[in-house]
Parts: sequence; C-alpha cells; structure tokens
Amino acid sequence: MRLWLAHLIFLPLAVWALITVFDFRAAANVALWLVAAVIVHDFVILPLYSAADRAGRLALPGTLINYVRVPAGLSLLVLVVFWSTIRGKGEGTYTRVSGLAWDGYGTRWLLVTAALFALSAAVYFARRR
Amino acid sequence: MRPPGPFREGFFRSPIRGPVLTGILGSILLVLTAIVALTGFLSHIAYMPDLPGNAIVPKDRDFPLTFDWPTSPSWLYALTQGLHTNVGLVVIPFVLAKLWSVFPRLFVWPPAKSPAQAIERLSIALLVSSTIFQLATGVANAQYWYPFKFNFVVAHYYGAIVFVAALAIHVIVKMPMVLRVYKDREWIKPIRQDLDEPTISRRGVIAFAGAGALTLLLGNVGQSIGGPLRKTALFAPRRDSGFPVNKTARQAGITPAMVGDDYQLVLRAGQRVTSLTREDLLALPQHTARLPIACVEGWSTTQEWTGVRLSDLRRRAGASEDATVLVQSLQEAGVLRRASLSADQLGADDAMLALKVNGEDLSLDHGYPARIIVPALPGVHNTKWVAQMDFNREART
Repeated sequence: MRLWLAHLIFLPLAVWALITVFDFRAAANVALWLVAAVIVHDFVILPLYSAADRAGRLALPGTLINYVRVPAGLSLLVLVVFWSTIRGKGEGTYTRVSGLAWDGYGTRWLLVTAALFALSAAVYFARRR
Repeated sequence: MRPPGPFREGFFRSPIRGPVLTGILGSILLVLTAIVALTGFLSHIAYMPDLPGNAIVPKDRDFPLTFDWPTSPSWLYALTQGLHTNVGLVVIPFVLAKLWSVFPRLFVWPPAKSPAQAIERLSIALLVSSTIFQLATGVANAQYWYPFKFNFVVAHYYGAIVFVAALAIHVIVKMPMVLRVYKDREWIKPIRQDLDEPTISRRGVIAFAGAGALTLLLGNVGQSIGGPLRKTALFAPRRDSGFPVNKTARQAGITPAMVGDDYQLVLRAGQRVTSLTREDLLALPQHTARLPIACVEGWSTTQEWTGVRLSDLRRRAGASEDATVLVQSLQEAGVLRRASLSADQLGADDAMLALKVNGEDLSLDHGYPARIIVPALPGVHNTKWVAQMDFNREART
C-alpha cells in the first residue's frame, strides 16, 4: 500500500521532468547519458574494480589487501572525479574564459598517489612492530 | 531457468553486504543528498528567474516556487553554492559504496515476482540513473568539460527533479527497513553463513568511503573558501588566481575601443534617459565595501569594491524605489550578458556599480569601466562592462 502510494505521488513528477527535459535540445543525448550512467557504473566500473580487488586478494591474503586497497581506491577515486582537470579535458575552455594556463594537475595527482601509498606503508610497518 | 554467472546464488561472496551496511550508507546519503538538492534548488531561486531575462529554464515549464533572494549575509551564496559543489563531491564515494552494497540485488531471479516489485525496480533504476547523471554532469561542468550536447543548466535542473522524486519513493519504501536496522541488532549477523571470510568490516567500508569523501573535499574546498587556503585545493580548477576571472574581456568580445573615451553608461526609466561617462560616475558619491563574489561552480573570492551605490543611480535615473532593473553588458553575444536585479537588491546598502577594486581601477577582465556588485548575488549576475540599465518603473513626480 505504502509502496503504491509513494509511486502514485512521485512517479508522475519524475516522468513529467523527463518528458520536459526531452523537449529541449539534444533529447537523444540526455537519454544516452541517463542510460549510459547506469551501464557504465554497473557493467564497467564496478566489475573492473571488483576484478582488480579479487586479484589483489589472491596476491595478499587476509586483511593485508587493505594496505593496497585503500590508497589505490582513494587515488583512483580522485582520478575519476577530477578526470577533467587531471587529464586537461577542460583546458581549452578554461584558458579561454579565465585567461590562465592549466598546469600541474597530473603531477599533483601522482604526488598525492605516492603520498597515500607511503602513508599506508608507514601504517603497515608501525603496526607490524 | 536461472541464467548463469551473477544470477547464480552464491556468486557474490562478500559477507558484509546486507541491510545493515546498506541502511547506514543510505542514512548518510539521505542527509548529504538533502543538502546538495536543497542548495541546488536555492541556487535556482537565487538567479531570480521571475525577473526579465533571468530564467534559463523557461517559466512556463517550471514550478512557481521562488522568493526574493536576500542580500544579507553577503556570503550567503558563497555558502550555499560552496555546500552544493563540495557536499556534491562528498556524496560520490558514499554512492559508490552503497551501489556496491546492493549490487547483487541487480541480478535477482526472477527479475520481478509481483507488479509492485516491478515498479519499484523501475523507480530504483530512475534513482540510480539520475544520481549518477547529476554527479557526472555537475562534476564535468565545474571542471569546464562539456562532453555532452545538452544545455547543462536545463538538464541538471530537470535531472534534479527526477532524482528528488525517485529518492522520495525510495525513502518511503525503504524507511521501515532502515529503522529496523537501527533497532534490531540481530541483523548485524551475515545473511548467509557460507560466504568468504571478510577482509574489511562494515565499519571499515564506511570509513573507506569517508576517507574518499575527505580526500575529494580537501582537493576542492580551498577554491570555495578562498584566501590562503585556495592553494590547498590541489585538483580544483580555480586554485591559480586569488582573484579569478570568470570570463576574460577577450572571450566576451570586449575591445579597448568599446571602453575608451566614448564610453557612456545609459540609464533608462520610462521616457527618461540619462547618460554618464566614467568621469561623471567617479564624481558621484563613492561607496566602499568588502564583498565576496561566488560562482555557481563553487569558487569564491572576497575583494574590496568601490563605486556608486545602485540606489543612487536609481534615484538619478528617475526610477521609483519598487523598480527592478535589467542590466546589460557591452558584450554583444553570450547567454549571460545581461541580468535583472530586484528592487531589494538595488536598495541594498552595499549594492553598487563598482569602478574600482582594492583601490585601483577595475582591470578590463574584471569589468572596466564599470561592473555590478551586489551582496549574495550569484557571481555571473554581477554583470561586467555595464552598458545600460533599464529601470522598469518611473518615479512618480
């Protein structure tokens, strides 16, 4: 009952918003992005990191995996979320609008990655002693 | 017949998945996404779409839920939009963790046992889709990357409505389960006994997501706070300049000739037209205030502005105190070359047509000869290179 009521009230709102946004330019591109969002996460990103994690667990037994899992996970998260700045995808637009150069993001990502692994190694050796 | 692979029972081996982990992550996400959605809709309202020329989403396809955006405190928009963009980043690792925690549910067999389950799976598809869509488009936009053909503002706005509707359904349907997680600790036990030994605890997964959130936050928040902390934003686009330029004069098509000796600011109120040169403006009473300018993309900067109060210009133009104004730039093309201000914004004590910043003439990139600066106004509505101000009501004489 609660389930049907929730859908009865809010599903029309979601459908209205979808119909409305499809009425603007590039409707097919919006639809593509909405569908690709799910497909890329569920069938690319999640299986990839799961497979990498499984390979790591085979190489490092027990909870040892966490000393690699955590720094690698954080580093990859930063890479994915700041893909545009790190890979310079927005460089052309940014330089045009701001008048500034786009510099050093890739280097800083490498440094942050190195720092995360170094921190993890430090924690590992501190705990082992 | 049950398909192979992930549809098989026992395919997913982690013992920490289950209602407890999902419920706790869901509770965290409910609070975080509420902040992001609320500040997002507040930003929509802060653009004052009811005033002429301000609406990006057409009024006839929008809700009439607007109010007069306040001008005090002056850092209001810096705060709301700083929260929107930074909490938006914080959400990402928790969304990833939550989707991981429920991933086996994607492969339940049969896909739906009842019509109720079928429609619930549909609304969950909408929720997941709109969540990733909102995060991906928001992140790309804040980093000046436009790998899409649609209008960002329009798609991000309606995407938010899809998200809020789908989230409301999800919360109503799942809330009893989440409450049971907090009451009934029996649920802490793994659901199945025959799974792998855990390599990380539930608390560990939540801490992992939290560490991800903190990393993203530290990589970006400096550009929202500004000042000396700006440089700490290692991955934010706006870390290189203490006084960022949103759009250069060159990009806007403003040439030195357009702002030379012939420059005149035109004020209109009904039939009355007043023209002022920059010298005329400098001869009027000057006002100085430290005000932040905050971009929809989440960065902000606070500077000391000097210029003519907008209320003085309104009086000089012969407009009434309840007039709104359409401010137009010298810029000949571009969607945000003009913006309307409300009567309250015109009347705010610190609202001014700035001629100087930090005691010196504005640079061409910062809007020379004159630009609008209004407390708590979304950055891009502080029109630069102001050419004309059309007040829509004459003062009664």
